[in-house]
Amino acid sequence: MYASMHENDALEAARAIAGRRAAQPGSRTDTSALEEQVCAEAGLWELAAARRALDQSRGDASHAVSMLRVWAATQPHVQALPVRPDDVTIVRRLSSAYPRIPGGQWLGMAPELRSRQLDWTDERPTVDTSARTPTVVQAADAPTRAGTPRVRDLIDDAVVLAGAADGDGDDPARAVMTPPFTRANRLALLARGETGALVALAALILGRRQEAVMVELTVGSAVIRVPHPRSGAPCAVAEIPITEVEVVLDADADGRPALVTGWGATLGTVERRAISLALLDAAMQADGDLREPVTLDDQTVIAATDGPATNGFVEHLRLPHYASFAAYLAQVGGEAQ
Amino acid sequence: MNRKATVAALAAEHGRPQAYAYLDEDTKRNVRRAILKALAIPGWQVPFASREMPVARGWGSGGLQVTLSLVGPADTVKVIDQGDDLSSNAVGMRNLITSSARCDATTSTTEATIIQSRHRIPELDLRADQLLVLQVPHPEPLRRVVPDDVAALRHHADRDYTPAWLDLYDAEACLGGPRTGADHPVLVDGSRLMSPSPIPRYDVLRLDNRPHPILLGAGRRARLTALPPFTRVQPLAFDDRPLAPERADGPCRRCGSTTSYRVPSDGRWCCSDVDACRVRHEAAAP
Repeated sequence: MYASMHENDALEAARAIAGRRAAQPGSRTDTSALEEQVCAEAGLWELAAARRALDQSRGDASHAVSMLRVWAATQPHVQALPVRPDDVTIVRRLSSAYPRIPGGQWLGMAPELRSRQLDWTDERPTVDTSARTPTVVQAADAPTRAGTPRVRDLIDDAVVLAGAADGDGDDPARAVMTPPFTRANRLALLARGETGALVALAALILGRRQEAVMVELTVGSAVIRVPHPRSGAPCAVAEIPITEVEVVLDADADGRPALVTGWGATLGTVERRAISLALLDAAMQADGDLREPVTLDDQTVIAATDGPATNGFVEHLRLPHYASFAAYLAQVGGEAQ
Repeated sequence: MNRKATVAALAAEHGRPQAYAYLDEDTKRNVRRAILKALAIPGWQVPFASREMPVARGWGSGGLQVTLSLVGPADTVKVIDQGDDLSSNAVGMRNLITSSARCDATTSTTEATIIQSRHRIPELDLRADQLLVLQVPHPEPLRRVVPDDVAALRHHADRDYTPAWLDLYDAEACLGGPRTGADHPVLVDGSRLMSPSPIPRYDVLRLDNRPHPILLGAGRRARLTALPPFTRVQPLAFDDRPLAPERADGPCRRCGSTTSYRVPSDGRWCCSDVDACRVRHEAAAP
């Protein structure tokens, strides 16, 4: 049986399958966004390790996240210093609340402009993973976070419930965090949340809110400094892309309509993560919501699990909301007087 | 031989990999049927088989499907996002419509035959031969007060809008005015409650008795709603407490209008409808 390796159709097919496998190395697929997502979920910015983990897990993103966390747990840990605002260079800045903002809107690399139509032409060049363009390309005159005013400060004719500042928080990779969580710890834990879960919860909240506007989105490059082991002087050790989002949701302030701000930040440039985090933060701060039980009936479950619908819905906050936000502000401001 | 002429075969004969106006003919027929039904019952939400579109769900996929199933080569299309023609999402959709339907594009409100808009009604009055398509995020006006879709449908069937009236009364008693900013619900023909999409109250008050049809497409929720010409549309409000439009504290920085809908911009105010602002500006200083 084994000796009769005659040319036959089955052999031809087997060769074709083997050939196809060989012609499809991982390097031909651009997985940079997936790598960023894996790094963000693992809470560890090391794209090469993420690529390796993705390869070894056959592209299973959750498994790759787990591999990265397992690896990171055995590595020496250095406590980094808080990022200084003048160390953050902004490469993309959007506001859906106001058409013109001090400091300006910078479109930068806009993921929403990428085509959604599948291209069937095959002349894509091989992606060279060693010399990949960085996700965040800085212009020479790019502004810093310190030199850019916050858009939330423009909201002056409405009651804005701001969250209380409560310290630096702990590192979720090292510390044991127990409830009740401080806001900083909650944000740190959520920042490592799984993207799909964050988006589903955020879409659930968004569907129940009356007003939700993304006040400011910034994609920037942050310099990370650690204290020098001998002298203690801060030394720059890495530069990582971060995405920061601030949203406002409608809230109640002593029975009056008001706004509540929410803030979210993630490693990398997967913007839907940061938008979802900010929405979750705002909803937890606006008293009443999230404490109100969510009925998990079939309509809610089905709506929350349709990926393209929830992603699109959460990301649509990036679209301009100038007219509707002005309408809401007029309402809130009018009541306040 | 009667060879079956499929749309794909016809398209292949024309050397185009894509159907005319992007959508295949079955989808267009489905959308048109839903539009006809929606026009027959003004203000009623008609389900339709909403397709995945090359814009994200929630980014105007409903309005886009309505426009693409109605557009022809002789049409002139205008797409605005919050009154602005140059918003990147509006530009993307306008390019998709004009390239796939091989029709003209414009930013002028008067020249357009189809105007697709997000969250604004153009401030220049439209004529009877023009068509307004609105993108809708939440077609269900009762969604805040009746979260269950089946219960909401029962309320619509009974024309029983008690929860919405109670909510309005509650807001009136507690806050002295309705709680809604944009997206104030409207009563169509005095009987059916409809979400006008998140247009400001300024625009809600301009919906009554329009000479042109308004089609509202909600792609994510797969619902179509229509207002045929000369439909009575009133905001949900008590007789002695009419809905008030938004106020702006200053004239437009560009055209100086004090009656348009204005949004804050760099500490001053400017018109949200860019084309109407241009027309007023040119009329003032020719």
